[in-house]
Amino acid sequence: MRILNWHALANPARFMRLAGAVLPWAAGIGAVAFAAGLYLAFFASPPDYQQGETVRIMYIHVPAAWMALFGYVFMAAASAGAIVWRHPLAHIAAKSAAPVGAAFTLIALATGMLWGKPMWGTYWEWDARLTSVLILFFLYLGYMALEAAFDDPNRGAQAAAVLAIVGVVMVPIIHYSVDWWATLHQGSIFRGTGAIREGQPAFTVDSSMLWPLFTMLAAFKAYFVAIVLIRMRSEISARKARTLQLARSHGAG
Amino acid sequence: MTFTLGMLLLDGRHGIFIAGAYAVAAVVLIGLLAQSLFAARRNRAELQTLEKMAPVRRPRGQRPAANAESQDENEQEAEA
Repeated sequence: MRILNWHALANPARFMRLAGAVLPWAAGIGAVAFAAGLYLAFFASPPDYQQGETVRIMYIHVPAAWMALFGYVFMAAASAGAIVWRHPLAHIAAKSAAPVGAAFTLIALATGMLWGKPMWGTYWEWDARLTSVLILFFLYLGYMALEAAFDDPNRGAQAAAVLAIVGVVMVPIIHYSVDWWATLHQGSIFRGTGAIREGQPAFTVDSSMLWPLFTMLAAFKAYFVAIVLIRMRSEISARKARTLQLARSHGAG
Repeated sequence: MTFTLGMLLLDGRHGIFIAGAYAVAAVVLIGLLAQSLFAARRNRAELQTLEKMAPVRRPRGQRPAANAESQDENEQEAEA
């Protein structure tokens, strides 16, 4: 049974139709999840016994950090799809995801700094987690700069795709940085499958704090889908316009 | 104790950091949304303008560009 034929989406006209159908749902789910997430974050969750009200920063910081990693994995997978399978829309997907991932990384860094000042007494500390996320942000910027640096868009896309694939090594480094090095940053809130098998709760935080966390994550995910689809449709229109302009200039010449 | 927005803004100790964090997130997310929508509208308008102009005549036997959306769907499916 054919579950999903990626090559069926290789046709831009078909992709535009599919994206047009998905976009209103992603936008609607995103809007509802944002409203619910903000309500839960501000009015339906208690202050932390140590952090007090400052824990409310976590409801955007943690989902933004998860999305920063997710965005990079998406970008690297799309780049691999472009290089290995030569999927016509893969480069466009990677290019469209880069600014969204960079935005989430910036939010994770900025909100982490604003949480760090009252909790740690400093905005920034060169510890493993913070430094590796900063490198991830530079990787996003490097991808976008490299993609735009060539006169030939295909060469730029190829070079940026290689950078995205090589840079994916940062994802496990970021994830395990709190385990591999003695850092100021807190460990993962997920205890792991071993703890679940032993009958312990899966997460280190109370469910009253998990609900706003995961609702905001759903909102960020829907936002990601919506913005990537908008940018992909926009890029396809731009490429088609460029092709028409080239055809006209050749026709005139 | 129920948390209210007023408490957040009046909380002299940490309220500014909480409000600042949400403000940064809002500015970045709304800014990216606005930029994406503006670019999409501009590109669509540019494409429509070009499509309304007189059609380009290709020399006999010349194939259309690989990334042209107007490429025949059946042709793409055959390639896939």
